[in-house]
Amino acid sequence: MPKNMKKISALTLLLSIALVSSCKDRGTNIPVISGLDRGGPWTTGNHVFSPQLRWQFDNLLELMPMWVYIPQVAADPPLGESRPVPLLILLAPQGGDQFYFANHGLEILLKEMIADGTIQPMLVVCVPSDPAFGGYFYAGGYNFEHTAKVNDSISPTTGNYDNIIGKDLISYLDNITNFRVLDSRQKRGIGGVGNGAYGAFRAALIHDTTFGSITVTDGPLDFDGAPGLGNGLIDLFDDALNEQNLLGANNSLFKTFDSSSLWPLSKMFIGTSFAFSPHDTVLYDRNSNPNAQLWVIDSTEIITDTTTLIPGFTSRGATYRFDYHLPFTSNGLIHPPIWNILWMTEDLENLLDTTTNKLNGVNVWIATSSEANLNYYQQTQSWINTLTNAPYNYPVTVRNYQGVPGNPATGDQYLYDLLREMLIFHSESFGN
Amino acid sequence: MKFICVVLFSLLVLTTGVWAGGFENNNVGLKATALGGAFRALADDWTAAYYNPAAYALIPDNQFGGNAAFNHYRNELIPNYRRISPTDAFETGFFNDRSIYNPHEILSNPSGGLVLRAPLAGETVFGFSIYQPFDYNITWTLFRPLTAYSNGYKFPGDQYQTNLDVVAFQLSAGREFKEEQLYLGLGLELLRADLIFTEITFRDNPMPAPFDDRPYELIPEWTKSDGYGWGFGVRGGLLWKPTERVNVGITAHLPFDINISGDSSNLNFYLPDVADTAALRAAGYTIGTIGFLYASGAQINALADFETKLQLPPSAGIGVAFDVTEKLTVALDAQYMLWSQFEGFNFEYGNFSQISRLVDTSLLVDAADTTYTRDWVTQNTSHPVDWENSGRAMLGAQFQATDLFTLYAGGSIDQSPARNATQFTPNFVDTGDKLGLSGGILFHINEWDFGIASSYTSYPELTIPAIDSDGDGVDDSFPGTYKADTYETVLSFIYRF
Repeated sequence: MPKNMKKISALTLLLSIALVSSCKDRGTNIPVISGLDRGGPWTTGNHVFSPQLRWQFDNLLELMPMWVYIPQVAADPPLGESRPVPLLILLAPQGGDQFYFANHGLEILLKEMIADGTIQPMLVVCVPSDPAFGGYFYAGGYNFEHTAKVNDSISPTTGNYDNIIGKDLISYLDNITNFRVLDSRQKRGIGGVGNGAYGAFRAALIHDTTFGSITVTDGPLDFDGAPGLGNGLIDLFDDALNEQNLLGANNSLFKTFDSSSLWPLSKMFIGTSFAFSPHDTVLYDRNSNPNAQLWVIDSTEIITDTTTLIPGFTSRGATYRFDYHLPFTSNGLIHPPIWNILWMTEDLENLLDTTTNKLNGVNVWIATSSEANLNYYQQTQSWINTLTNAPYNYPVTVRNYQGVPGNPATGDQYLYDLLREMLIFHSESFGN
Repeated sequence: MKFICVVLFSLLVLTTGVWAGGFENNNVGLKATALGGAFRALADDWTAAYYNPAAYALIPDNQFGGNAAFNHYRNELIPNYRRISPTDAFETGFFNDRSIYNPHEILSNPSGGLVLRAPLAGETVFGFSIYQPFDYNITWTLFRPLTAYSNGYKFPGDQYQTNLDVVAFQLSAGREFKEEQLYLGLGLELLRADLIFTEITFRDNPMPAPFDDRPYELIPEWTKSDGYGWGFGVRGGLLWKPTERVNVGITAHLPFDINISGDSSNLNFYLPDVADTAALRAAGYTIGTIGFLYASGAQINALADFETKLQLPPSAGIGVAFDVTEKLTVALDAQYMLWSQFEGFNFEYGNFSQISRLVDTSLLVDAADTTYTRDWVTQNTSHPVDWENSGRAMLGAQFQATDLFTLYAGGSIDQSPARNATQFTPNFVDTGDKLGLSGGILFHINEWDFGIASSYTSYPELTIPAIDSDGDGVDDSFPGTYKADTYETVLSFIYRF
């Protein structure tokens, strides 16, 4: 063996060790899905909210369909722990059914985000926008406290949503889940898209001790707009008439104003007119056969102004005709007796009571895009200004977003992405 | 003390190597690796076939030798692949904002050669060698489709892969043209190229709203092509000895384009799974319609032949070696490679032997739907790069410490062909101008030489921004932050006879 072979061997060994130490296996660091929440949708959540739905159009069974997600921990053993959880109610936009949010990925989002701890387990209830006339802005039952209106209505033809969302629905959920819903304002949230955004704020304002968090996207949140921000729904009057080629039509043609799936604006105004300015403002009904629960209408109280009255609609059984009053004339102009008194009193700005701080302590998140159609962006901006400025000065989390080139955010194209943020916001608002 | 110096020197060189730009493999053999590639003017073993065939004329003995090179690509990518709007960035399913590493692999790259001083054609020295002038191998798993609408796809792991091997079977000859001053050499190459190439691309969802709403506005397409081709190349060299202590080497390599083809291209499309079947029916998309297919959550697979062209870059180099002392030699090389010749891969598909029955007329009622979908599925794919010509400088030194062993050290600065690239994808991670340091030791025992060399190449960190030059809403590049290091270890033997 040569004299310096030991040194050479040691040198070679050092070289080898240095090489090996630089090649440690780091893995790939690919994220692993740890699992999914094993809760799931309870798809048969239809319920009779009598008398709230007794005379609703096209709802012979008086049912309100729902899509309800029950997280694993709230399920009965052995799957779950029977643990009460917070509640989130989501309201679909015009044309959206109870599966609307699930069809935008809600179920999988819930399963993933609950499982990985991004959000806490929550019971989520999705309410459809009634399909009969484009929905009713989740309104109905009138604003009982408003003296300018004619009495109150026990069960309008839109359904008495004001008594359902934020009241009877929560009681019902308590019952069907065997009290798995936490009973505190902080643990209840509500959200909505489009018309559902209005519905969410409306419910939170009318039932001002019910919800602790609100998340919405752009919607009809300020009916008459604001200086520099357009005229809200007023700017859509012409568009609705143009859908039917009725702008400037004579009176007899105007009275043929019709609902059709081809005319979404017309449907929206018809549905909302049924909610805000129905011809029959109070229904006097009775149970003619208690054994059969056979209800009949004896009489109604009506709006006497006929300028924008559109006649010709009937409810179930065709036993009584229900008409409505549009807020605009055939020239697309405001009809003050309807618009100013009956519609604008339902505007969120007017529902917001300056003396009781109805949204005090409520966490509000609003997603808004300048690309939104139907003047929803401008209305949303105006509403944000109202909330954040004096005298309210409510803190509002505003999420500005826009679509990618070629795919603008005119409606709900990006709801999949926003849903994540909405769920996180509610989860954080629910607290520990 | 001398021993300590040797140890420190060795560790120093191990912390730093060489790696060529693009997909060139510039390390053939132990000595060249250890010298940082500065071997054109030395080239005193069979690897002269690669560095300078003219040097064959100076090899005194017959010899055969072999190398086993072990490469370790240590790459990292932090994806930032989102759909960009004026105010937002929407997730696409890539593992954004997270360090992702390529799978840990030690890749082997063998080579070997024979040099014969046969009494043919006077003093001409011949040789035959097999080595890889071009080599690249990288695989990434970067993507999982966004989960929504109740689906979950199982994507393959080799989502982005480039496994390119170009093997040269080279017959070389070197001859003295002016006594002890000028030598010329020529190598004729038969090139065999093997390519496995996979990539994810996005296709526009042809469905109308709302069935193409986020996150299904883009349909992921995963393609994998596996094929090979044959080609030719010529390698020439000149070695000039202006003085006894100085060598000058000049080389050129001219590889010709290689047509690569295969019969097993996989084209897989992962269609949206729209849960709202009621809405689909309401829109007229019932079973058997194209609308139902594109919302079915199905996976369309197609199998086809493919052809693509591998454009190999010509190169030229020059090297100078100077014997500082009897034992110490330093060498300085420079190389220029025409990487602009390489424009990426365009895959042309044909002879589809299999397309999912989902597209078949038996499942799509309307023949026009079948035609449309077949056209949609069978489109060619393109993976362009916009590389530039690049240069490289190499410096090396060899020191014959004793009769028993020789030490080598070297370094290089390598300009990246992708230094200004706008079309940058994980298929080729060449993040910028590279620095390499290397070292090695070669033992001489009787007729045998054997040794070990190691090199390390440091890549700069590179951040690729999101660029959508054609405004189609899909990035031209793969945005993210790229990091890379490359290690290579070469084991070598030579037997002289």
